[in-house]
Amino acid sequence: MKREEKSATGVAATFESQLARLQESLKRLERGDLSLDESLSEYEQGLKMLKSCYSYLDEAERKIELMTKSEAEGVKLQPFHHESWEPRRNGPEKKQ
Amino acid sequence: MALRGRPGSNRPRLRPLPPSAGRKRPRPSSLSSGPKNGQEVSQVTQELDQSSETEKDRSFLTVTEAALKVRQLVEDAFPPLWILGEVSSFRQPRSGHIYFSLKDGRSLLHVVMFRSSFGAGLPVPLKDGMEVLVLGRLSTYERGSEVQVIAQRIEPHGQGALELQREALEKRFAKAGLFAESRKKSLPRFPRRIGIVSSPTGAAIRDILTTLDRQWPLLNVVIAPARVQGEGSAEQVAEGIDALNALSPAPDVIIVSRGGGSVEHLWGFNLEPVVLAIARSEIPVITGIGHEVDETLADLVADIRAATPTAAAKVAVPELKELEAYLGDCERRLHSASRRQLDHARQRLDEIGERYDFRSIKAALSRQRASLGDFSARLNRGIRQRLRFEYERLAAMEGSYAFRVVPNQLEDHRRLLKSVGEGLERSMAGCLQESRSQLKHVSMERLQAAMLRQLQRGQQQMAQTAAKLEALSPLRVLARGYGIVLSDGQVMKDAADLAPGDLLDIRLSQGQVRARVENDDDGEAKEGEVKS
Repeated sequence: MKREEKSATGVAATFESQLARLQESLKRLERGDLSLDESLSEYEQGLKMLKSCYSYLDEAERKIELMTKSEAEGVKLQPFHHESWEPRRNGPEKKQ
Repeated sequence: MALRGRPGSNRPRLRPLPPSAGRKRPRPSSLSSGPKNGQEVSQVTQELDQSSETEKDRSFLTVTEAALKVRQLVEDAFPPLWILGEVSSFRQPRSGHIYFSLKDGRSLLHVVMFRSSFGAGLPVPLKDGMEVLVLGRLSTYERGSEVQVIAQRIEPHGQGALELQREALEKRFAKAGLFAESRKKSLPRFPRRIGIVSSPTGAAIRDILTTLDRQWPLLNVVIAPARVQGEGSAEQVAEGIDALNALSPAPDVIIVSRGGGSVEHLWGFNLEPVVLAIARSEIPVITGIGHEVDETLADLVADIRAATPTAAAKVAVPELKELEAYLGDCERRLHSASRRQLDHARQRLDEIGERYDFRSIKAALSRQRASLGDFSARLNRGIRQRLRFEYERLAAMEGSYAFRVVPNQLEDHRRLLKSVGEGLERSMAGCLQESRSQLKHVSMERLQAAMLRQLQRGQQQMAQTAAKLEALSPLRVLARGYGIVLSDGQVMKDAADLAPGDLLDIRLSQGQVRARVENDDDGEAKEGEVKS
């Protein structure tokens, strides 16, 4: 994606790459042809990735905003309220 | 009974009536009413016979003349006017002229438009069923008096008009490649920020937010409000898409959406501003417009088309529950896989332990280590012995030839011997060190052979050095016939230092003598009386 510097994708891309790294560690470990040292380091790596994935889900920021444009102030974001709809909860349940 | 083909092609040629036609009005006759009884019939025929006499007096029209009159009447009565109707039986033969019927629920008019009226191509592509407005003159068909419309202009009307416009736009955008699969961007798997272009009060936004809430509540949502139907809607939607692209941080994905409606309601999403805005958006765009059956040009140019607003939200985000379940599964697999590895390694270790008797190997190794130590001790002793031997030999030489008077040279020799000995010892020790470190890789035999070689080399070196020493030794020189001349304990080298009568001690290879200087004799050997 071209706009990584500007967009929130930067964080999302990290999550995606961490998930991919986790899957890679799993694949290597389950193949069973690693030395003991390598197995332990893959295991550690996998755990580390797993932890960050969980924290990504936990730390999610949840906001709904409405964009407004005016001559004076240009483009602004304000909290959005819909008259017949309310968000069910503020984000995912925090993991223990 | 439609009028078809070239005028007059199927019609028999009429022969003109005699010139008398039309000049006189026919007398009203009982010919118009049918005969009622026999008497009347003969009356009629009588009358007929009578009328034939006066034929030349009756005025009448030819059919063509009558037809032309009607035509004139019709054409004069109506200026060009617009008629609304539905096209049917549309036909365009090779002549290029257009023929069709214009109808509404009850009536039908024939229409013709001549090529001369529209130039090279049809003004609008006409199809049966299309609703059109026809501007034309009412007339009659020359040869038969059927009324027809000679069209000057034809315009699409109502649904037909929109369809046409959409077709034209679709062709243009398709040609520009805007609908190509290769242009379509892929969606991010885990969006953090999502932009929505829709009416902020509509049902669509509510459906989308509900779905997002249920499925992936970790999102930042930014809504760019826009009218989604009517005047200006296309421009507002386009503006919303552009504004979201310009936001920083920008959303990862955009949904353009509105609820169900008629073709007219959704019309804005077929227009150029929306299509171009979606095409130039750098952020992937999902459209969820109307229902499954509604397909607009915006849907065709979008990166993903969803059938409804809810479907659009579903495709934009993953399912949180699914992801959490997957991560839990990964955790389990991680633990069990690494435990398997450990168990496997432990098992292999046990196998190896059983297969090889490590204790005997250890014992063998320690035996080898012991014998090597022993060997190195012997080697050391041997070297030292040899050196001592050489030293003793030197001492013996020293004693027998009273080398005390030439202490410097002796000292040099001794130092040389010592350093050689030390050097040898060091190199011996070094070799031993090396051999010790190579214990693992070298068998006892090879080790011993190497040690032996080293020892031999050492011995060789010793012998060589001893030989060199011997060669340099003053004893050798004396053996060749030279003597050392001493006077007062000083070694004499210059005859000028001696005076006649001086006492000299001359050391020869064997033994020594006392002599007295007789006289100096430049360039000649000194003679001395030998006192016995």
